Amino acid sequence: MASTIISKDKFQFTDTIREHLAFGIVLTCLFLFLTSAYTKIEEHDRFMNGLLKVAFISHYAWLISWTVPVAEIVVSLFLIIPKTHKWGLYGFIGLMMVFTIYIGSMLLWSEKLPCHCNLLIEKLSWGEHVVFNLAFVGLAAFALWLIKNNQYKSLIKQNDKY
Amino acid sequence: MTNIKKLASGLLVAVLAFGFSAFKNTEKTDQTKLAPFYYGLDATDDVYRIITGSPVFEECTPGAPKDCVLISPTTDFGPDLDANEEAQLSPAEESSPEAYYFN
Repeated sequence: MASTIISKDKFQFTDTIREHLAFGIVLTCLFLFLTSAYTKIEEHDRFMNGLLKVAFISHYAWLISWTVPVAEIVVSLFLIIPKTHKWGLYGFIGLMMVFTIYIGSMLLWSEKLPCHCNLLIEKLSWGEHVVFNLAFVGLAAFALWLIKNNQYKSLIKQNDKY
Repeated sequence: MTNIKKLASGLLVAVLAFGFSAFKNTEKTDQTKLAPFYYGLDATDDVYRIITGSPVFEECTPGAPKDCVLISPTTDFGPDLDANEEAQLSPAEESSPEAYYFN
């Protein structure tokens, strides 16, 4: 019985590893969103021209072309400030899900697919883009789980003191 | 890891992200100065044809077996590319994979 418990513990992350792993994921998400926002602002005309070609959002192209990079910067700020990492990750997952739904709907219904991606990933096809987005959603969800688990553990430790 | 260290690391990554993006854009500007020749894939016969003026990459329509736009930095291969010429060229930086330029 004792040996079973020991071998189970071997596969568990220590608190420090959990914290570092979650923080590494937060920094990766931050880098992705900031490069993406920078590209969208730097090449704003190209980004807006792409949106204008999409039938069901062309009327709001100007609004969307500014809202998306601003939202990415706001989420990035949450990801920079340590106390708001959790909210930053929630925002990251939410925005990535919106982008994924947009790409999915474009793949299903749009005849022409404009390309106005982040410079890091603009060589990806639209199908690969969906997989890339979902992988990052999974990564951010994993980081959230690690953060919540750490908070839960420290709560138990605090209660044990009393 | 203290919150100050985390904040500093976050700011460092932010600076790196902006620096990295700025560096890539400078490269693009240099390429434009060389006045390259662009060839777009024609859907009618899968042949690359010269694009007059600057290519509009948003025109790339998926469903092709090859890249949308090829770039020749200095050499003018004429109006169409044959298989040998096509093999010498690489896709333009903003080209979409597996897409047609002319429909």
